[in-house]
Amino acid sequence: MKKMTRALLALLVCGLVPMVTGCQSSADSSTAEQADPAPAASSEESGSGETAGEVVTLRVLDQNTDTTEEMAAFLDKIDEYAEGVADRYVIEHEGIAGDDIKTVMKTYVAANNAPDLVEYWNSASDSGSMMEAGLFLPTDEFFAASENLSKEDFMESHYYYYDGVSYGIPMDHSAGVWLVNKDIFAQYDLDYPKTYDDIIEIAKVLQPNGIITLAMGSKGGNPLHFPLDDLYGRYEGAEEEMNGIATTGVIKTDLFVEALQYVERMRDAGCFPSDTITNGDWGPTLALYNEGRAAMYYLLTPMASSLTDEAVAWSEIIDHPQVTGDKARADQGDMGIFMGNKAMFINKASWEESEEKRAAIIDYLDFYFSDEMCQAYYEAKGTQPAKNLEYSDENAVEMSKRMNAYYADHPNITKSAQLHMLTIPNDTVWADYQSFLDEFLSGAVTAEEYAVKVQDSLDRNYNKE
Amino acid sequence: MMKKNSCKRKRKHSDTLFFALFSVPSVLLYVVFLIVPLGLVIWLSLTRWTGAGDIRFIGFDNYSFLFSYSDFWIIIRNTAIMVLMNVAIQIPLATILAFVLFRLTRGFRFFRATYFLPSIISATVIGLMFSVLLNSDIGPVNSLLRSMGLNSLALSWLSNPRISIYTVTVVSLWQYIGYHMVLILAGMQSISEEIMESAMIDGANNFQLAIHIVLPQIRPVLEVSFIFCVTGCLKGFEHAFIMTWGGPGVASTNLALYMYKLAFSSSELGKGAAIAVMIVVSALVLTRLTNFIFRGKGEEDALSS
Repeated sequence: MKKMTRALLALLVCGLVPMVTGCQSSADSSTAEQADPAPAASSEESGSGETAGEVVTLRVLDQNTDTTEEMAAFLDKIDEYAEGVADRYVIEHEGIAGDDIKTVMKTYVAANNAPDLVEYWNSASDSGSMMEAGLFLPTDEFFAASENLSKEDFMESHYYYYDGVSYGIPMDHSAGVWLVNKDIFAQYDLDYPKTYDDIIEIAKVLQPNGIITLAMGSKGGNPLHFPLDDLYGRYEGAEEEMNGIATTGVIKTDLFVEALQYVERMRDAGCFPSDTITNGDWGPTLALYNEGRAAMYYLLTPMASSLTDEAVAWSEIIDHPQVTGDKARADQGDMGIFMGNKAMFINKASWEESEEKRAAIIDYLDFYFSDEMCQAYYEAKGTQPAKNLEYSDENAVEMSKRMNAYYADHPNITKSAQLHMLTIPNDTVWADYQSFLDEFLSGAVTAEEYAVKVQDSLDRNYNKE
Repeated sequence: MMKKNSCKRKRKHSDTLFFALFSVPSVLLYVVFLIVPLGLVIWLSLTRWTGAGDIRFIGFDNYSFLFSYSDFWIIIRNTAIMVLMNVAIQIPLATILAFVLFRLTRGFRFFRATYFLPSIISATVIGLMFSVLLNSDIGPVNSLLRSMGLNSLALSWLSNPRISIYTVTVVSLWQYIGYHMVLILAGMQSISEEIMESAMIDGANNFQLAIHIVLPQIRPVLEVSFIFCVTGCLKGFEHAFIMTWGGPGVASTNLALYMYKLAFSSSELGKGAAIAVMIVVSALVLTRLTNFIFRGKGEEDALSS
C-alpha cells in the first residue's frame, strides 16, 4: 500500500510540476506583454519557432466568407497569394460575416489577443473605445511606411477622424438606391412614389391586397437606421444637428422627432411588414422583396449581389423619395445615398512587434488594396472599394452595374444624408439607439419616447467635455 | 492493542493522504476554471471597462445603475416569466409524457426518440425554424389561422412587445420537454418491478400508480430536472437571440441575453459581469430553494408513510 501511495505521489508530482510551471511562465509572459509589447512578442515568437528573420504569422480578421461563388473566387486569390509568401509569413485568415464579427473582435480585444489586421466599422459608435485605448495604428504611419499605397489613393470623405487622427484605411464605398417592383406597380396601376407622402398613399392600395409596400424592418436597428437617417437628413439643419452630437450632447431635436413621426405615420399606414422583428435585419428584409411580397426596397450595394435574378428583372431604380413641407431641404434632388463606414485597421502592437511582422503587414495590405484585388472585391461583393480607381463593370454584379448607371445618369447627385452611426460618439449609445429602434418600429414606444430614451442614453454614457 | 491502534491511525493517515492526492487534480481544475473566473467576474462587476483600455474600479455603481434602470426590471420580469412557465408547464408535461411512455407497451422507442429529437437540435436552428413559422406576414402559422377564419388569432408573435416573451418561452419550453422527459423516464425505469407489480395486484389503476408509486419514487430525478430547468432558463439565451434579438427593445430579453448585449453590443463589460453575478446568485438561491422544497416534501412523505 505504501509503495503504491509513493508511486502515485511521484506520478502526481511529475504531472503537476509542468502544469504549475507552465502556468507560471504563461503568467510571466502575459505580464511582460502588458508592460512592453515588443519584447513579449519576441518571446512568443521564439516559443512558436518564429525568430527574427524567419516566418511570422499574420492574423487577419475580416468579413470575407465564401458564401457565394464570387466570394470563394476572391478568397482563392488570397489563398494563392498566401502560398506565394509562405516563405516570409503565414496568413491566418478568419472571415466572419455581419455583426457577429463585433462579438469576436471584442472578445479578442478583451482577451488581449487582437488580430494583426481587422476589417471593422470606422466610427466612434463602433470602434471608438478601441481607438481611445490606442489599439490601432494611425493610418499616417502605415502610409509613411508603404511604398505602394498613399493616403490619397483612398476617398478622402471615407476617412474617419477620432480626436483628429485617422486609424482605418477606408474599405468600401457603398451606394444606395430605391428599388420598385414594376410588376406590382403595374398590376395596381400605381405611379412610382416621388415623396414619402406618396409611399403612404401607395400603402393604402397595397396593404389591403396583402402586399407589403416597403420591405423594411428593424432587428438590432438594421436596416431601419439607414432609411431613417436618409429621411431625417432631408430636413434643413439635420446634417448640422447630427454632426454636432459630439459637441452639443444633444440627439433629441425637434427635427429628429419629426423624422421619427414620419416613420410612425408610415408604420400606422401599413407601409412596413406587420412583423418588424422577424422581417428585420438585412437578409429577411431582402427576402420579402426577393419573394415578390414587397413592392419597394431600399438597397445598399452590399446587398446587391443577394438579389435574385427574378428580382433584378422586375426591379426598377427610382429617384429618391423626398420629404415635403417647410422644413425640407431645397437640394433634395441632388441627394443620393453614399457611405463608407468600414475600414482596415492595423493592430499597433503587431506593427511594433518586429521588423518581420511590420513587413508582412505592409506586404499584405499592398496586395489586398492592389488595383487587381480592389477590382476583384468589387466583382465579388458588388460594392466598390474606397480606393480611387476606374472600376470595370464587365464582370460586376448586375444590380451594381445598374446602380452605377443610375448615378452616372444623374451627375447632379453628389450629396448624401449624414448617418447617426458615424456621428454618435459612443458605442453604448449606438447599441441603445439600435435596440430602441426595434421597440419604436414595433409600436412599443412613440417617436417622442424613442428620442427621449436615446437622449437619456447619451446623457448617461457620453461626457461631451 | 496499542500497536493495533497505531497501525489503524497510520492507515487512516495514509488513506487521507491518498484521497487528498487523488482530489488534487479535480480541485485544481475546479479552482482554475470555476472559482478563479468567478472571482474575476465579481471583481469585473465592480469596474467600468469597455474591453479595451483601462479598467476603472467603480464600486457598486454597476449594480446601483441596474437596479435603478427601468428596463432592467422588465428583464427581471421576463426571466421570472421564463422560469415560472418552464417549471409550471415543462416539468409536469415531461412527467406526464414520461409516464405515458413508461406504461406504453408498443412504440416506446419510436416515441422516446421523437420527443427527444428537438432537444438534440441546436437551439439556433430551432430559433430560425420558428422565426419562419411564426412570421406574421408570410409564416405558415398565421396563414393557417387566417385560412380558418381565425384572423383575430393571427398575431404578430415576435414583434408584439406584449406577447414576444411568451412566444420565445413556449419555443424553448417545447424544445426541451423531450430532454426532461428522458431524464424522468430514466428515473421511472429504475423503479423496482416488484413495487409496481404489487401495486397493480392491489388493484391500483394508472392514475393511482402515477401518484402513489411513481412520483414518490422519482423525487430525486424530479429535483434534478427542476434544477436543470431553472438554471437552463437563467442561462439560456439562444432562442430570444435568434428570434427577436431580445426585442422589441427588451420585451423578450432575459438576464443571460442582457448580459451578452451589455458586454458585446454595448461594450459595457462591467455591467455585463454584474448581470453574470446576479445569474450565479439567482441560480444558487433557486437551486437551494428547490433542494429545500424537495427535501421538505421528502420528509413529509416519509413521516406520513
